[in-house]
Amino acid sequence: MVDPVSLHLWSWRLLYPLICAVIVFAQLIPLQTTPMDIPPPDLLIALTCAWVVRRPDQVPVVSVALVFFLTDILLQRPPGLGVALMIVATEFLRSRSPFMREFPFLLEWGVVTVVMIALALGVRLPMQILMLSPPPFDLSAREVLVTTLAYPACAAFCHFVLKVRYLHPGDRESSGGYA
Amino acid sequence: MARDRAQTETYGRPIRRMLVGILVVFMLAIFLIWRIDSPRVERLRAQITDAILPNMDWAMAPVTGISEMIANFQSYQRLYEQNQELRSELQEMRVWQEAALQLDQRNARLLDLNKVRLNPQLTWVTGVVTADSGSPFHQSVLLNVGERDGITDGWAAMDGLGLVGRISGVGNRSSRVLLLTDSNSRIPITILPSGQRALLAGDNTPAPAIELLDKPDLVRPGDRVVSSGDGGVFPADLLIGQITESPGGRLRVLLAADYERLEFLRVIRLHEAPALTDPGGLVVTSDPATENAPQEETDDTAATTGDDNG
Repeated sequence: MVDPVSLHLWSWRLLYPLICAVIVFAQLIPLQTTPMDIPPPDLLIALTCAWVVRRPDQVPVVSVALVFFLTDILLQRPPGLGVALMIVATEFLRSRSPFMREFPFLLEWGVVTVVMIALALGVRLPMQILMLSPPPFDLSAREVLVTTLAYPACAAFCHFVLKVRYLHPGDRESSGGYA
Repeated sequence: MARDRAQTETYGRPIRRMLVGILVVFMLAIFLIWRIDSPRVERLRAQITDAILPNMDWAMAPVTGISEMIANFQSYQRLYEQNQELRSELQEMRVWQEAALQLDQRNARLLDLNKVRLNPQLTWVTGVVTADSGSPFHQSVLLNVGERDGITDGWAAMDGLGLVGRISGVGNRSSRVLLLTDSNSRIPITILPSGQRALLAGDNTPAPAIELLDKPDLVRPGDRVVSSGDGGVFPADLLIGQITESPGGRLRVLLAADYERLEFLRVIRLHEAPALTDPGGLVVTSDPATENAPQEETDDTAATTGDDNG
């Protein structure tokens, strides 16, 4: 039952939450307790997008949901809202993944940027409808900008360090990949 | 679960789509429940945080330590300048020390004259900062003391000198301090020497703004700001900082606490003042139906209230 290809796949599926946990705990270390003008990039979103676009089979919906639900809880965000949006965003990227493998990187970057802007706006809208005060607009705009700028670094990290790359027809692993 | 598309293409896709839809709806439901019944979900959040973060202490402590060492090492580069600065500051401090000593002696004499006893109930619990909020939109830190050590929501947290924030969210082994700089933080303050009451409202900047000030003309930069204790949720007269004026002309408070290095915090134990919940037995014959409700919650305070009134 356990063939080497799926065993390999499961080790990547476990690696994703592990890396996310490292990122979250790095954010939680109490080094920066004063408010800052330029927020650090949201590496979790950038990394998840880069990974889902490259290998959707390695990042199942359940791990996205678990990881982002725990970060919502730990980082004092409204629980559930960010997760729902992130699931929708990753599903969008997942369904576009077979086409995006043909894209040049700049175009991929553009698509992901649009997704990130939609995510940031998508958090604000329900909060305003339910009369919660969303984070200040300029701060979240700056965060989206910084995260967008960090995206190529995350993509490079996926490509060169993790060796998470687009599958092309004829690759050995492609039986576990796309339909 | 039908996640592997290659194997179950015909059946997998609709089922998978449905499961994803259910997941999204479930998450939105959690969000709505949080909006409707915030305290309960927040308690759940505190419990989850409590279950996870104290276990990560072993990982966080060395990283924090090493990065602080690097920061300290960088400061060696300007050792000479610092030395000069320190010398001149030391000179100034000697002047202040002398003044403080004289005032201290005078204060002791006056206290002795008045036979004043300081409130022995104002004690504190010291906690170590183990984590911060981890996001640029929230300003809070996590302490390693919690319900186990008797911490209660709403108590004040100080570093050695000034107010840092208030407890909001208590787990068994950890508690969250909402810093004064957070955009949800509102603290009633008194501005000295004019004695005006106002509200200190955090807005995600290093210096929180002053709101609801009656007569801004009476306040000038450099005035001291202390907590006022209005509303009974906070001890009065804890030092908060000094007034400054921002370039936009808005009054702000330079915090006395050192927010760059929050390491050990004191949580001030606040014993609730007896609240007056009934009109008093002597004036009106009290209605048993209205008296029972508050008595169940605060048994002992209600009992002392009765004594005070009688």
